[in-house]
Amino acid sequence: MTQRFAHTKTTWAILAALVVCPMALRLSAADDIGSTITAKPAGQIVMKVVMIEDEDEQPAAAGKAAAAALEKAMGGVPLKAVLVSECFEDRQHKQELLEGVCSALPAQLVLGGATYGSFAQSGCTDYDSVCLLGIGGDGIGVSTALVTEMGTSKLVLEEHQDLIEQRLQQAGAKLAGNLRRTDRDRLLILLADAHSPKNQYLVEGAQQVVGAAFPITGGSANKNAGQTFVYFQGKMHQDSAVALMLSGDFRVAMAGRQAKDNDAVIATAKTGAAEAMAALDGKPTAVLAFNCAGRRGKLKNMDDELAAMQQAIGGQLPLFGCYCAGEVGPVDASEKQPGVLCGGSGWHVMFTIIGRP
Amino acid sequence: MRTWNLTPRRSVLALIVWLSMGLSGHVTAADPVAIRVENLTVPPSTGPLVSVQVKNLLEQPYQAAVSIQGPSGWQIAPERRGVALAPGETRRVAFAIEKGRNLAANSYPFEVSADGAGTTVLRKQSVACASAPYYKPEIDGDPSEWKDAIPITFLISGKKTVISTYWNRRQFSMLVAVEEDRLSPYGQQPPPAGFDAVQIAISPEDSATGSSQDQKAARFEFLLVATGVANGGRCFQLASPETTLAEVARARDLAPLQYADAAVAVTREEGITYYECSIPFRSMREQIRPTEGREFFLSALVHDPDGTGIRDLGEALGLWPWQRSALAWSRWKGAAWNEKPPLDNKLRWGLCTSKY
Repeated sequence: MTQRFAHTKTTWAILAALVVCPMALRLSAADDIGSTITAKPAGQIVMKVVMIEDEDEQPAAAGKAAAAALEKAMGGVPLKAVLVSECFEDRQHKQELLEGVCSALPAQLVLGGATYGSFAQSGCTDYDSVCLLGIGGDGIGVSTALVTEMGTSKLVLEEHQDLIEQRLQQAGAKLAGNLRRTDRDRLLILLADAHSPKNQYLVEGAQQVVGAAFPITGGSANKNAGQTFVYFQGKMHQDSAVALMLSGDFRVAMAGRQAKDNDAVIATAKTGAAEAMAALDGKPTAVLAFNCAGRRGKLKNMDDELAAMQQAIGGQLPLFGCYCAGEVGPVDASEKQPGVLCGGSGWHVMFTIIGRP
Repeated sequence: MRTWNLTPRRSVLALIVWLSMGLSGHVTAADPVAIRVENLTVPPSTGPLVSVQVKNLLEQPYQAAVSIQGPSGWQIAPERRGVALAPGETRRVAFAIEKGRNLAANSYPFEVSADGAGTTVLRKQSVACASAPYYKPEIDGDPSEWKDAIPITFLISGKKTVISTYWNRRQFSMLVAVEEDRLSPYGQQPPPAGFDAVQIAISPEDSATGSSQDQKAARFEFLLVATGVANGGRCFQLASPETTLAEVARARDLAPLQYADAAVAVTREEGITYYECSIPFRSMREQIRPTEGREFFLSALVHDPDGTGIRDLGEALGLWPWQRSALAWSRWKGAAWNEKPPLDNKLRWGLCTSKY
């Protein structure tokens, strides 16, 4: 009798899950498809950023501290996704960092990639550090996906251009195709092992699914030997790409700027951020900035670029920035293709402002 | 099997590189201006800047439109840039590679011209990408780990030299493959003809070699030698930024200058000597921060006293003849110097991420 009762409870629990949270089944049905949660019109949208620099070579502790700081910053709002940018050295330290993050946050929400460093309102980092963007609130929906074994991480364009183009376009289409779509999808974030200029092909693949005019941003993972990983549901993957689709009734404004010398990097950081802010025509919630490590390398003082951004966005708005091996967003004028909003390129800073009227 | 990182086809291309690079430093007496394309510091497929050095050779101001063409199929912008120079002044003029492709031979044909003072000066030059990808090699004398580097090959007196570099947060690493008939190892008592070595100078971006002996060296300078025992190698630190140029100019005993923090292995196979080393960034970090995209200066001399004599990377990469400087390289006991001093040690180099 007891056994039968227990079975009945389990059945009811499954039925309840089917009604209340259909995506949970979808999550368990395919391990490369993340959770999707419907966004409530005019619901709450909370985006917070924390950044921790580790000067003691304790990546696990840094990850745990960052996770704790993010939870606190979210103010009790449950997380729906956590975007990670980290630049610890070598697989072991990266693994420890992820374990630290996932010891305090649900691993299934954690995705991101290895970068060359991060920046937030509090400053810039280029050594052992982690930056987390927490996304939560009933006003925003998230859907995530992973594609592995793209088969391009060790190919070079001069010898394998056709193969790279074909494989990355396929990967991009598969990635976007695996996302749970809604009629209020607003922004696609891509993080991939696709060093510029390879990233353009991944974007083209995604655009086959979401359309050429859809807002896409993101960055390419650190391509230093032995450091190239993307993260999905708290696990490390090589030769892979992850996608995060955000949906809701929020607005997205974007601007991209390319620059290759100190003065131009600083100037474009300000003008790009200002253009995105002006285009939002509303109250900003957060700023995403996928930036090029090559731009940073041209700076005499790394902080000058951040200071220029802050002149446009102020010093309070949550800013999630990372230095990448290629950037996705609205490419600068000379590279722009008619009718195509976004592309993959290098030497860019790609700003996305999320906000509401 | 240790090889040169060069297929026969690449060797032919390397010869072209050498010929063109050697010619690039040539300046005609009547020219109002000297022009030289600098090394690329990241692979061209990533769309970096390419910079042209323009020096006014006149005793009056000079204005010109500088234009540059890259290899077939590349897109470089803008088409031309204006430059105005005071007498004797040198400036860098930058162009953006909007579309470029990496070449395994690491040899990129450029054509650059300056149109001014009633004359068009044209130079054809093969340019190399001088960049260190991120990697952590084992310093064991085995060059097989260097396949992901971006080697620069040059020929002097028919002998090849291949220079490859890597970096990581802790070390700067280098493999110098020297084709030579025999290896003369280091000894406490240098042979009359001198011994074989590789001399390396590393300095911060925008530093300059001083012109008088009371100035500081403003560079890190090292010497790699073979001990002649197994894969044994040794590193000596010849200069740090605070070393005076008077000290640099004095031929010093090497023994007190040994730099134990560097890892060195020297091997020899099939007529090629491989100098492999890693130098800690620890002491250089304040001047050269090891991060992606960082630029600095580097050059190397290969000492082959019983063969080709000194092989100067600066000459191979086309520095101008007037850029020779007796204060650019430290003197040391056991070296055999040419009649003319080597060229300056300031070749622009980069720390990049990967060629993939």
